[in-house]
Amino acid sequence: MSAPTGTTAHRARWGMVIDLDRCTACQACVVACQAENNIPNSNPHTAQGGRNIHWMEMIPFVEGEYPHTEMRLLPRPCMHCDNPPCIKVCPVGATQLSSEGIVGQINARCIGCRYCTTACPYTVKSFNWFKPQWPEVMERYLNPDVSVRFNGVVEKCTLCHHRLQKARDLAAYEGRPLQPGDYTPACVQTCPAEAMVFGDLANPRSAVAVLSRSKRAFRLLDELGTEPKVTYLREGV
Amino acid sequence: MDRRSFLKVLAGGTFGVAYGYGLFPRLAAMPAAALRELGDDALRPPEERWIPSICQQCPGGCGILVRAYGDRAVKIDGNPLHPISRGRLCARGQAALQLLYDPDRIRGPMVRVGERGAGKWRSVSWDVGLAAVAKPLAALRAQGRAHFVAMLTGPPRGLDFMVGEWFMESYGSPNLIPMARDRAAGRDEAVALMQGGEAGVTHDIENATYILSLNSGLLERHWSAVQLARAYGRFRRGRSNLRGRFVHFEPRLSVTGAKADEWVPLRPGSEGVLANGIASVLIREGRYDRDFVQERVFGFEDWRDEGGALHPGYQTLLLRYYPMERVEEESGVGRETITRIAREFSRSAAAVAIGPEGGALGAAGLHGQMAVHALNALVGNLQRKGGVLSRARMPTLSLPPVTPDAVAARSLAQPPINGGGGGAVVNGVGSAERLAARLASADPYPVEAVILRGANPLFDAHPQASFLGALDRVGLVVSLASFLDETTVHADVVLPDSTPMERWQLDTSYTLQGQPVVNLGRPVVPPTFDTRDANETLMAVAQRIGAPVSDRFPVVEPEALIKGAVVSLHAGGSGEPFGAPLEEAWTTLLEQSGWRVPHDEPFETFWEGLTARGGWWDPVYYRYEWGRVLATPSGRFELRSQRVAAWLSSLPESGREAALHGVAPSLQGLGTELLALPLAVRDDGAGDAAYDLEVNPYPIPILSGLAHTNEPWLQDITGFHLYRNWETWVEIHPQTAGERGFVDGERVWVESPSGRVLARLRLFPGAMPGVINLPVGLGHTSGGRCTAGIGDAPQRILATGVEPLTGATVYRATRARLLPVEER
Ligand code: SF4
Repeated sequence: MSAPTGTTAHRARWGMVIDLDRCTACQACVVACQAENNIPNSNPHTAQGGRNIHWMEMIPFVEGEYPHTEMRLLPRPCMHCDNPPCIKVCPVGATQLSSEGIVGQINARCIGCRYCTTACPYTVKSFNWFKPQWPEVMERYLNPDVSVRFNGVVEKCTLCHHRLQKARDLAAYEGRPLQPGDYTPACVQTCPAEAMVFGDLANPRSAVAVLSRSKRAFRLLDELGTEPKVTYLREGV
Repeated sequence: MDRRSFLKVLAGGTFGVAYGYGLFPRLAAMPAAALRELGDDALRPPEERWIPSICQQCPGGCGILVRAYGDRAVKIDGNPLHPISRGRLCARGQAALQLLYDPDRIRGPMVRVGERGAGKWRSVSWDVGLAAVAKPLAALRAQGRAHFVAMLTGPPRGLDFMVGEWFMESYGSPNLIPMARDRAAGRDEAVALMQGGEAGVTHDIENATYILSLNSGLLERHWSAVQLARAYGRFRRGRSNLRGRFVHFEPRLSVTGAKADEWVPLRPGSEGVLANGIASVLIREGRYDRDFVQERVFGFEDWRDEGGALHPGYQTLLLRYYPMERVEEESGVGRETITRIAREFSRSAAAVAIGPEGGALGAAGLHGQMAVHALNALVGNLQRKGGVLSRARMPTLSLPPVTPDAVAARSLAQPPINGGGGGAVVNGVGSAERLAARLASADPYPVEAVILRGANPLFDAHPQASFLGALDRVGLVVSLASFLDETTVHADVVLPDSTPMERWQLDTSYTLQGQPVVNLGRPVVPPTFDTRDANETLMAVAQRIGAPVSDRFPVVEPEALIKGAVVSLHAGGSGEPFGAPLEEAWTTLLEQSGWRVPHDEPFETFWEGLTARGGWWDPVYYRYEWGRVLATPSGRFELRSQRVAAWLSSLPESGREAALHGVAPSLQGLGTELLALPLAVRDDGAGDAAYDLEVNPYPIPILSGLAHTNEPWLQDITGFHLYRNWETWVEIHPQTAGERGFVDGERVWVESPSGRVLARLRLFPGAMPGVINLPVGLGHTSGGRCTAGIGDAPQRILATGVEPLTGATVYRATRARLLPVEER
């Protein structure tokens, strides 16, 4: 079957696998995301109020008593749930599930009610308490493909949706279908441990689909019925 | 280069290697290309390119591609062709945009007004700034005192160091002094003693089946984080049916410990004692590689000198001085665990032992590192797949030779101010402390001018006050820094360097497989401020000093300089510009079957390849060049170092006793000849009983290797495992805090006999009871809004001593106590 140019043969379902056995918790994904998505910088003041914004964050879980203490470290992006609780509570339709499974945030529509930040069980949504500011010259590194948000709106991981748009444009321009590897979010692209795999879950033979069926696979808070499209592979054999 | 001529170069466009968002190189500038076809120039968005350069955040040597959007840099990713980064980057590499566009950078040349260190400056033109340096330097030279000038630099590698050498030789001073940024962990020196050579070793993590990590900090402060992470991922999951096992010892539960299969708490500073305990199990149970020991190891057995006297070898050292009781007591690790792990280690097909990594602050010491490295020889993993690999020779890159004029020659013949490397047996890089002493005592002669370039000794020195005092005696302090660091604050003239993405660079590094890599970077964007490439600044200074200095050190475009330096790479015939993995496999195969492929392409083609791809490397690695791998006096792996032994026998008895005291204060009365063996001891720092807790300082992973920390993206994630950032915290076991009446989240003083630091107390069940875990890396007093005044600098309260074998100032075990900040 030949696909129309600039798209996949079937309707894509974008998803991610994070292999915790490869992950070194280096946080390259965290910073790559900040850089790619024009996320406002933190400072001691925002940090103290717990108001720093991260679309991708390294979450620690410390358990057990010394000397049997354990620490699990989970890189946590938006889960891009197939059944996202955040969408249901938004009174203005500012957060939506796209036909390819990306949970998007339309900043211009957001009224800042923050229902969605509460509804998300993974706490991936952040509210802009302050007007984002970049000192002179720092604004030069802003990504021209991503709009800067303003205070009073919620923001979150978009799976670098702008990259998908660009990849589609390129494929269409070259008169070919979208191919695996054309579209990769910034966090996955930089991961030095090769712990993150991204792709189309609707294609059962894609690397991401194969890995998400692994014996080691688990999904965070799956029992809530959110149907996350980010799968973790646990450590160990 | 000004903005206009820069854009002209861009338009020339030979170097716009374009990559897309995928993991594989492809054309990215499509929308621009499409628009160009539409033909409307006015509508065309800025040209977008991915330009190869080098990440200089740490010494790891990653190749990067910078997304340039017009004349702005908007994203950095790994260069997919680069053998070290392979298209990936670490957090610090990603954050380099905040170094480039740091609003607190020095914006142009300036001279001090008012008191030194008061922070009052006047902006001046480059002409005025250059003259303020050239005039006094010319005067010193005219008086035959060119050697009164010292230049303090970063590590001795790459173009910047070569240009420093060139300048100093032309001018006439022997005082080009590379400064250690981190207090060396002692591993390179230990390897140098046991294996000889200077290039050092790497650990083939990717192919190992078992990693025995003795407080290595492997996943947090490896010297080249990106390739380490890739190798680690493959160690875990890159082989079908084989998952490497990873055991880690450390006083606290760190990220490395969290990721290991087994974390075993280890008392601070006992890495070497534990290694010797493990080794003695291997020896007692006969679980070592006898063939390797017999064939390639020196000093295992006892030996008799000509007079017939018996001297102890490694085996005797272990069996006599490291009984299990002592090892258990000093390390805090139970004998069952030690025995079990020793057996696992010896049984695994490719086991490797790794001691504290660079930037380590612990008290393991040189002998502790020797003890750890000895384990590798015992299992015979040298040069094996998954073992310890000796780095191959780095090809020589050179600038034109200098023939100094008579004035320069006279000054160059003077002894260097820091006494050469200064180590008794092995040379470490320059220590700020020794330099301070020499500056202060004007011995063997006074220093009248200091040029700072890539060194910030005032932050690194210990104690700071003595270095400051020494600097005060220097007539002229010139800084070529890009940032107002602690030492630059005390400069008289500042001629700011451009940052890496604004200038040409040539630097060297190694892969984890021991292959040499030469990195090349060209300017990605024009200078953001009125700064200049420091190499060009030095040339301009030489011009103003005039002939004969300016003849010997002429003005050369940085590009031409690099081109000249890499001619030898082309002529040498080995290696190649970076390429896709397939090409490398092909070269290796051909060469290993005897088909060396010479560079028959003209130099210009070679050069184009280098600049378009980001550099050169030699993928062909020879494992069994034993002459290179074991370059010791005996030609073997020396468990008993002949260099140390020779040095000891050159000392009077009192000197030997003093050396023994320096290494092992608790072990007086032993034969001093044991110092040539891995005589590891744990120093518990016990003294005044009022200081009731042991200090375990550790580098903050996300800042490790960084010279510049004014980067909010990184400050934001320093202590993520405890939800701490933008301040210094301290990790304490709940029971230890509770017994002393402290609660989670309160601010405390951590006080040692040498001072105190302010920290936020965090209860942490991964902390060893009785130990204060203190993160190091914050506490700058200058350098920008996101670093000055953020947190405290715990290294100031650590005890120090001099390592007798290297002459370096090292941290010793420290005791401290907690004091409340608020009245209760
Ligand atoms: S490891 Fe060092 S060189 Fe490589 S990306 Fe990180 S900071 Fe840059």
